[in-house]
Amino acid sequence: MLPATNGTFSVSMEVREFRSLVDGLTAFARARMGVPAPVASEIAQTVLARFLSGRYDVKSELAWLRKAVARECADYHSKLSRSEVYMGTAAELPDRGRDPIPQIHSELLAKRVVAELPARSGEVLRLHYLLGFTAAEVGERLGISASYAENLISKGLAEAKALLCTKKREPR
Amino acid sequence: MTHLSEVELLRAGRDQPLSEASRSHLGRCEECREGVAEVRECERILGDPKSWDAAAPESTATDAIADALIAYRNRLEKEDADARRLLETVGDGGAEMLAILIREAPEAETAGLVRELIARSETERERTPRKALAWIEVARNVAARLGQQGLPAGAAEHLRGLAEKEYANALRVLGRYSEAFEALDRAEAWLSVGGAAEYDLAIAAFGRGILCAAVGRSEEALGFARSSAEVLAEYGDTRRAAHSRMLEALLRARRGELPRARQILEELEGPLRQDEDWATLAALSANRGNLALDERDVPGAIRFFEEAEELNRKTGQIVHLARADWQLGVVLIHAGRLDDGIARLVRARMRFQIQGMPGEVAALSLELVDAFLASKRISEARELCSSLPDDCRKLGMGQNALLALAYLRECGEAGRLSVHSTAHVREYLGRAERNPELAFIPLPG
Repeated sequence: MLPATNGTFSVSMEVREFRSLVDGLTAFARARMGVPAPVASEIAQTVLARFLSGRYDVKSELAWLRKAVARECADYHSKLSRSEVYMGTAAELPDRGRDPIPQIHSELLAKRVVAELPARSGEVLRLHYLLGFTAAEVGERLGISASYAENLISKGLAEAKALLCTKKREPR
Repeated sequence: MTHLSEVELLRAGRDQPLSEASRSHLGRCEECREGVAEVRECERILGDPKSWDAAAPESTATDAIADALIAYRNRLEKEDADARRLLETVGDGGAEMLAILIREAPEAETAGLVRELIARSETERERTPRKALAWIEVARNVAARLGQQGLPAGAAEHLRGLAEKEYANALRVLGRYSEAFEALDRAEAWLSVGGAAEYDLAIAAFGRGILCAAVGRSEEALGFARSSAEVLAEYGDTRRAAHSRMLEALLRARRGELPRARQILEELEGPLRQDEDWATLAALSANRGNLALDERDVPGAIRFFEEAEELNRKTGQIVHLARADWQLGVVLIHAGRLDDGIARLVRARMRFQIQGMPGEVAALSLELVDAFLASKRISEARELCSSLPDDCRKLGMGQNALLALAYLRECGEAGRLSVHSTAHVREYLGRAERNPELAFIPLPG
């Protein structure tokens, strides 16, 4: 899972090795710890930045990184499961303002939906919904007719809806 | 009842025209209304820039993260090097000179400077705690002024937490315990920002354990020692985990649980030898020596202190070597081997003198004077007292402490030197370490 660096991680790593380390930690967080891809990337980034700042003097840097990633993933799962408890018993809790955890969950869900769209649909929907292009402008940008662009937008939206429904049903 | 088709749901969700029949069905069918709500939720998601943050192809996202981290690493390397050059420029001017320099050149206030100052304070903490405190005070100020620009999320707070943690250590060594507790509280708060904090918080918990032990809150100290050892071991920091366990052993020994304390220390030896961590093994041997003394096993204590001395020599830890010599000298004197003990103390004194540690030179000299008096070597005791103020003045000892040593010299010259006069000066020096402004008052008569 992690890159073969003979058990060592060095701040003087080559760019290629560094990328492979980020890849390895992200994959570890996703495949072994079961966090969604965007969250896994964020965790790898947080942990590596912390390691770089801290000048930690430990025997095995990779072991340290793995442990820190595993801990962050566990925290992520724990926050999500707490959010379910919160939502279930909200009426019994004192009002402490807006609970951020359902919001976090909803943002992560949105990221997962967008991340898993097919590339073509993703591009069309990004132009239409994020950048505000009309169907005609999307068509012009992609070299297709306005009506075909409109069809692609509808198809993409249907795909996003299907993904959203699937993700909502998945165990958190 | 026929539900709306997927195309009709999409049209409804996008506020496009629907047939009358479809509109009418939608008014009656909750399931279809849920479908429309899902379409609208999708539109909201797709229109929100946050949803697209990490939607780039995964390899591109990873590359972007790696590039950002490499840029951060390169930035830190450059800032570290600049900070080292700046500290070389400061030279003997110390922290005050540095504070003046960075006031004139605020661009020097970087994350790298904070890191270098923390490292410098840590290195000097044992030898010259006041200087260590001065360095770390500058580090705290710089860290507090660090902006977020160009730093990963949480990095500025992390550095602030590390500076506060080292500040707590320096305060502890100087005996300013309540301030040290406050600094640790702040350290933990800053370190908790930004994630991946468990390891730093475990180190802080170890520091809190030492502090609690120093102020006699042994039960709390024991809890911190145990919890920090567990986490540090999980992160592969065997050195710090071993120190946490040594703290646990010390606390158990204090509670009279000597067999349990011995067991803990014995368990540590194998893994440390396997890691060839000679510096930590030296600390372990010193701790085993102290435990042997608690167990009234003087030959065992001598053996462990000799081992500590040997390991400290091997690792070039001069200050620890001097301390091991000191401990061994005291044990030998109490075991009746006066000449051997005195020889050790003389050697330790010389080492502290070379290291420029006036407090230790003075304290050891008092120990030596007592040993000389006990062995009726009065002229040597007098001679040592005579040179002591000058020796310590050259090492930079404060004026009030020098007055106390001058009093001892006068006692020697007047033939009034006794264990009472050395005890009086020793007690004063202990208090003056925490409060250098404290005036020395000689014994009556």
